[in-house]
Amino acid sequence: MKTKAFLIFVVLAIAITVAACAQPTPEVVKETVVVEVTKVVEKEIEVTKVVEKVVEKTVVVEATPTPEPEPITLEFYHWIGADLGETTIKQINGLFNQLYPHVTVKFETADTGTYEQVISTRLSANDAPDIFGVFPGTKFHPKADAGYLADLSNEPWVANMMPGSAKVATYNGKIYGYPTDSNVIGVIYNKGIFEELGLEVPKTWDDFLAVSEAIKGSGKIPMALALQSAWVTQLIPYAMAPTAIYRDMPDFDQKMYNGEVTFAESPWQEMMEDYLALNEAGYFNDNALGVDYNAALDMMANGDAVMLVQGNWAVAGLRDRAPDIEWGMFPLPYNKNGGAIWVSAAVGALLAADAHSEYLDMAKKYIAFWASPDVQEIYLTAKKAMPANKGVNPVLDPALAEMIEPMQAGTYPFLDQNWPSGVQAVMLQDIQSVFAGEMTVEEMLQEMDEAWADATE
Amino acid sequence: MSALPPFLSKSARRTLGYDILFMLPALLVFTIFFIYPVLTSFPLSLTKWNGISPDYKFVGMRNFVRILSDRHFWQALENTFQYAILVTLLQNVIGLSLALAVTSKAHRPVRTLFLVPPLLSSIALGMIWSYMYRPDGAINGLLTLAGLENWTQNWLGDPNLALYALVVTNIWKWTGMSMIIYLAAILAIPQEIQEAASIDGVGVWQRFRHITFPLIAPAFTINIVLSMIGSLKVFDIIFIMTQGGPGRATESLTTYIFKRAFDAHKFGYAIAVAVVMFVIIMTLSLIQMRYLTRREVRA
Amino acid sequence: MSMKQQEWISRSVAAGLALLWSVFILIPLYIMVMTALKTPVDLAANPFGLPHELTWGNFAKAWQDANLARAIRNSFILTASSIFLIVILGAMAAYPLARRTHWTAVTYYFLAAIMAPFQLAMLPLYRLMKALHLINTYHGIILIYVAISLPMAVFLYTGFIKGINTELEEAALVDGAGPFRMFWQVIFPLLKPVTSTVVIMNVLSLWNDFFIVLLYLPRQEMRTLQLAIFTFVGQYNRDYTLIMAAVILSIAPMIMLFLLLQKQFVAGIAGGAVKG
Repeated sequence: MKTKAFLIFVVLAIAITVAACAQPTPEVVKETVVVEVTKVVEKEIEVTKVVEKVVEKTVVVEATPTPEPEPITLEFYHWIGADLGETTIKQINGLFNQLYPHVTVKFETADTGTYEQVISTRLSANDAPDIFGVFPGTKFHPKADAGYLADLSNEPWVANMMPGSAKVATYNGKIYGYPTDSNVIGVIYNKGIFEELGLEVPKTWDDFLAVSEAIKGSGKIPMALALQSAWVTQLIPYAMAPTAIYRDMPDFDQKMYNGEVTFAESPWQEMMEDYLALNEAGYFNDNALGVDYNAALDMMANGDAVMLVQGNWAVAGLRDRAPDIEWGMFPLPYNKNGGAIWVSAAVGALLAADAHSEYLDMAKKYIAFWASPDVQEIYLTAKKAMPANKGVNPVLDPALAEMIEPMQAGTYPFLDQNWPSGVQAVMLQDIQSVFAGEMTVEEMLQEMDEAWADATE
Repeated sequence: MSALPPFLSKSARRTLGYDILFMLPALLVFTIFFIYPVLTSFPLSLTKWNGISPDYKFVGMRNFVRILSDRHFWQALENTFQYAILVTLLQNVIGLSLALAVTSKAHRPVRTLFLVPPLLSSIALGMIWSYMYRPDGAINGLLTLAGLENWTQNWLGDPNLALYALVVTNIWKWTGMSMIIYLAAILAIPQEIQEAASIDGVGVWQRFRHITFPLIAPAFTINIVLSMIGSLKVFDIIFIMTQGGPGRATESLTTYIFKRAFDAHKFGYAIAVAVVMFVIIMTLSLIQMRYLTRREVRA
Repeated sequence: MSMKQQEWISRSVAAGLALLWSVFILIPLYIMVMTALKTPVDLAANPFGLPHELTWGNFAKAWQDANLARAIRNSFILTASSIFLIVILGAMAAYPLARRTHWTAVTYYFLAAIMAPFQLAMLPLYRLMKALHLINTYHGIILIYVAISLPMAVFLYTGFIKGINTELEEAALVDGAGPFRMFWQVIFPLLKPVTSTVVIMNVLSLWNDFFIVLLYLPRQEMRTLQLAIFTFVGQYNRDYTLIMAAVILSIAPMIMLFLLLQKQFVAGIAGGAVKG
């Protein structure tokens, strides 16, 4: 038996030596290449028309590339791939490669949970990708302060940004990222069931409560809520705040920075109490703390739940699951004292370039390529998002299109985009704690105030 | 440790030289890739640093002072202790009982089965058990099938249950490992001793208490130390299954460090917590090892 | 109570316990396998029962989409090379520590590291790796794996060597063998049991690691098995039939290895751990 044990060791040792010395075997390489090629070919057939269109247009605009350019590889790192299954990004990169045959864009992705951690480590170790995603608003400011982000203020696309997009891409008067898409939070609902129950889209908070009550009476779950996914916990307050706070006090955030107001003495108290009241009234699914984002979408897709407060990205997931259901979307009518309903809408992501990149010029060209209307349309159509720039007209999902008109009343970005770093992290965990009964609303708001003070001292 | 004599003989010097050559490769890799990073991170615990900026702001002992009044730190510490104590206790009690239960050769297939969970990665484990624990998952489903509908729970979503749910997942994975270590020690006990005792009419419990248990003391030490340190440093399972939630019900020291660093961008503070955690684990392990090895000697 | 009765009762209790634990181990494994063999529709209709019809396609899709062939190769290279080095360096370092009392301080130097949370080393280590151009390289990860695994290996080897009689090595030295030859020819072969322990423990921890590769080996084509699964789960996070198929594929190599080398596995754990 002992000799056998030693045998394993020897076998292992040999295996190691072989593995360590061996390059990837030709078969492996060939196989990978074949797979890649087939994939590319498939995709190209899909989009030939678009390809032609883009190439034609861009060739006219761009100067022809220099005669014998060295082949270069741009590294592109972004969390968006996790939503889109990488295919759309690969398609866009393929188009870019047709334009600049010597440039290969290598795309890598991570889910949002690990993205921030990996990018932070890579930046602080001066190992930045050439192009990468940053979150809009204050979250990218430390990275800009540290000099990691290239100044993109003189890029051709700057003039086309919508004012709101420009705001969250700007810091100290400079533009640091290209806003790729705009998103909106609202109530996604099952139109069929609304019709069955004879319900109308509610225009006031009382109507909304009445609709919820009616759905509850019919035996269905009025709203699916996935509190296990920490990021979901914030969506209802985010949808409430534009109407409850910013419509009447647009400079609330500035006042927070000046120390003139606090969360504790703001409408946040009432917002949180109403959020909890929805739960106590039985308008959410049971066990919300044990339900994750996907499980909530499942509830909607199999008709158990009727409404869902979410961003437009959830529509893509719902259509995927239940293509036959007619989905609609309306703004959360949190106008308890009457008046207009403001909508929570914001840029979803910024494309930034590494300030120290060896290929900064090419990285900027790549970002500019993303800004071309055709690429924007490919991307936005796949992501079911709204444009963040002028002159872009993607095919809007019908549910999403219903949000266009309400957005005219007024919008405010996702709250964390104006907050100092650290406050959102506290809020996400505290909302769970409040729902778990481990913490009161007062304690939560006090902690958010402390986190704010700590971050801005 | 004996002090080196002032004058070494030639052969002693030669031995010393070879000793150093033997240890050098390991010491180099270990020092450069572990000790050096650990040591360079200690000064960071005295700074306010967002993890990204090249500038650090020196704040002296402030991070450590704040830890004292940080209730989330204390909750993470309490959770970690609760988790570690439960895991260490259950894993060893069950592991030892199972080892005693499967000593005969006929039990080989069962032993094999018990050793399957330790082979699973944290990701596999997390996926399987998250799925089991879903409100509409297998556990509640099976309870309902068995007519025990009242027993169904929101396993990972209930702050009073989530930590215990993670403990169950952990012992599901690791008890087989504890068992095999105990089993090896039990099987190493000379058969004659057991038989002699049996002939002398010593009862089952008495035999365990006075023969088996003292003789497996080294296995006991290593099992306790391994499961204790392992569970104090738990990260993967929590990170994958609950991320510390709901609220902070399953927040451990490691997930708290991770979140302070990467979600709140308070690296200086996070590293200060890591330093405190290091000191705690070290103190506990030293006490434990001293106590357990003394017990071994006496036994 | 007579002795016979006592024996009988303790045997029944033992059998009951073993049975109970077997069921407990089997339920999640059963659910995992059954889920992987179903279509999503079948799973929704019949979450716990046997599949309506065996669906092998999940495995093929997971294997291809997560690029598991490549990932398994990557994991193999990392795990095998690291363990090779851990055994060599660990055994050598342990020898003086076991034989001479004046190196106790070095033993404690290694031991302290077992207690240090990895989070403490995380960031400075990244800078170091970057400075040495080791990010996104196999040898960089191997060096980290070796560094963090050495303390336990040294600890186990030291304990084991202490239990070996010194006569053999003294005889070899008297015969004129140099310390290195003596070590490799006389001592090292005696360390087989504890070497299996070290190999097994490290196979388990390194093959299954995902945190370190997540930080220091982000490059797609170098992705290890665990990272590939992690990414795959992120992308298909709602289709449990696919996720479970991927999970099964990811644990299959370990289970096969274990079934092949079961005796050595058991003997290995026993060898080092108990004497150590």
